[in-house]
Amino acid sequence: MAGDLQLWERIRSGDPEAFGDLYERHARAVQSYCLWRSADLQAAEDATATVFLEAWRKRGRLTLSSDSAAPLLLGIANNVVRRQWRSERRHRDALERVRNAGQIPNDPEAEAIARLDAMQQLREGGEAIRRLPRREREVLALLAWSDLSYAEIAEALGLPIGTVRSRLARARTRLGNAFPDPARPAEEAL
Amino acid sequence: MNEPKPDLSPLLPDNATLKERRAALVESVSPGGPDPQAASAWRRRGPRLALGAVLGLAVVAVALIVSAGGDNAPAAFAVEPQEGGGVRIEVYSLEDAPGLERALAQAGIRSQVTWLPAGMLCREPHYSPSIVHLPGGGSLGGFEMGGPGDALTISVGSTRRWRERFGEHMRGEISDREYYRSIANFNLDPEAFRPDQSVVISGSPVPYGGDPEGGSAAKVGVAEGPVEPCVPVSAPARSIGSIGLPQSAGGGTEGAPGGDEAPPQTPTVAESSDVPAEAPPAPGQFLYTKTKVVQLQGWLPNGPGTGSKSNPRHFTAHVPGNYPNAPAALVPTVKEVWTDPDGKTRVRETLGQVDFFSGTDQKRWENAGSPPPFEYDPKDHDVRRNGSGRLVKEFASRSWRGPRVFSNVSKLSQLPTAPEALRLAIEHPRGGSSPVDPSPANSHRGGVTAERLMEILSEPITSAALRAAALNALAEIPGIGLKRGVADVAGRRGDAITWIRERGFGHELIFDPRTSKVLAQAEMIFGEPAASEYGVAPGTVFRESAFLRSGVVDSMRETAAEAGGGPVATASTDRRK
Repeated sequence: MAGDLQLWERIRSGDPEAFGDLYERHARAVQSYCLWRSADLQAAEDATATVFLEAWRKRGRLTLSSDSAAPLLLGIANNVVRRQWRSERRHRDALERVRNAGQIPNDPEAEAIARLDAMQQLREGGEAIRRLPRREREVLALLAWSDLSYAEIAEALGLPIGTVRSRLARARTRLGNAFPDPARPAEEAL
Repeated sequence: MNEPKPDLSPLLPDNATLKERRAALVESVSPGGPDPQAASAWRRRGPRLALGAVLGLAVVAVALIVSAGGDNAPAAFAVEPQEGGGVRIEVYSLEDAPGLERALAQAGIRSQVTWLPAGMLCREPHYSPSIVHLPGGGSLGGFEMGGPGDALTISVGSTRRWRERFGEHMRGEISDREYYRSIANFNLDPEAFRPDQSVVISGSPVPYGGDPEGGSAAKVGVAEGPVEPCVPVSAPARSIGSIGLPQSAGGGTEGAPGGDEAPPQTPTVAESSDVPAEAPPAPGQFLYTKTKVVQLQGWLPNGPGTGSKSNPRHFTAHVPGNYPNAPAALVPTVKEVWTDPDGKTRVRETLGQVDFFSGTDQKRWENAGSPPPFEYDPKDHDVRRNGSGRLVKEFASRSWRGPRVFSNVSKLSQLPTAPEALRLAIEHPRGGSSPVDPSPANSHRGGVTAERLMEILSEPITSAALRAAALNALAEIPGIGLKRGVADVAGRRGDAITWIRERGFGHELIFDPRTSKVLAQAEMIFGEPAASEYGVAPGTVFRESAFLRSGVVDSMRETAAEAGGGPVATASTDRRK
């Protein structure tokens, strides 16, 4: 399977199918992040579609610095969530169409209940983080809800890596160390 | 994180959905316009079986099932001029398809008519589905017909004349006999068709009267643009025999039970064995419903409170209305209600996370000891925490209808299940006259009609056919809107009826277009001036109820899922408080 770098080259030359591959590869990660940020399913679905349409629109200006498009897409996601509902008019139709593609589940009740549980957990799990100041929240959210490294978070947010570290440190102090990071022991010593 | 991450997979698109969205996305960025392949992938499920499809159809006698031969049917169809202009075509069989196409063309309607062998269908999609908007409101789209009855009759003529005739009959000005002799199952108004629109009819024999090919059933659609020839494919088992309902209830409300399972001469959908049980609970049984309610509530910590003196309630649901400045929180509650045939209920409310809009208010509320937002009187209410630490309030109550709680079921089953007939029937339950076209939702009459239709949709026990008719009749009222692909508070997608009322407030009713089942009802602020007055974004929901589960159970401790071995078996009727 082609890497993201190769895919991105094809996307830059205007290949819609390569764009489709990129979508299939990263849509769930982007939607997870948007869900976490907005705690709203419809908003997250709309944001996800917007992220990809933005990536397509700006493809000429954007470059990948590694073989993963995740930092780029999550960086866009971060901005999209921040200004959700202000999507451009010309995106509306496409957005509408993407939103409507996808079936009503076969077993609406069982699935609805599973989704409700997940939403509930999502809301509760993120409660403390959502009350952080925005800059700290964004850094912490990317750390908690994507598999990005610190360097990739820095790339996604367009920040120096030192700033990412200091914001994380502040966020953790504020949360009373409620969010240690067992997954990244090497980075614990900030 | 010190807590495990929640599993978000139920909230993420599954593989099939991902593929479809990919296709839609690729299509939207492809040069040279939509790729027809990709387009059809999403359009297929779009407008075709959707609401609005049969608007304007006023079919009382149900069906097209004809004996294909027979003494009185030497010709496949007969054309006669009708009073007031146009023609009426009595179709005994679709076997002479080219002849019927010519007859329709002469009357001003382009068509494709196909007669298929038993058990076959046209491969779909073979045309782009469309909707004909009728003068005076309403529309005509696709539907399916089947079931014992007389010949299919099609009239071609003006919508106004058609509706007047219908009204005359409803008012008793013309006899049943005259009416049925003169009116057709549906009307095609050449004036209402755009030049690129045409009618697509396909039919095939179905078992009737002991003969495996003794009758026939038909599918009618409206196309825009070119219509590809019909490519016959095998129908899925029973799809001909059970057309109409419940599968296509959102689009075809005229379907009577047809096919091998329905007894001959069964005239109405309500008696169909295809429709899930729609009876009230028997003595000793209970109707169980589970609803998720998310409500905007205001916290009034310094007010006198309401309810019991010892435990006053300091929350109010009258936001934004009466208390625009009260700190507002979203209060999610899962409400389970068991109702017995006498109207006694047991209610269990499980409180979710109270979520204030502002972090400061949240802190204040938590510092005040997180007082619960519900009314609490130790005499009547049992409040405890469940295994997950949630507050659960249980109490005995009575349905506001008391012992008459299910008395409407039989009345409802007598209502017509054709949209226009339903509207006229509820507009004058005891006869009387009224305009034939629906009145706008913002007029008194139209508003009352819309209210009544919504009441029908909120009844605990209704047939799929009646719900479909009510939805279609609602959509026909000028001023009522339809949105597609709307998610409810439980994340289910459906279509939504919207009714914007005074000052930007309104209702949204989200339903599953395949079953006409109401998924959720929301009260919301749609726009100005309410949005500015309360400082909220247009589209803000302040109360939403999502109907999760319902069914008849044998004990007040049992939920529908436990009773029937799965939600499909027991939750089929529907929902509601």
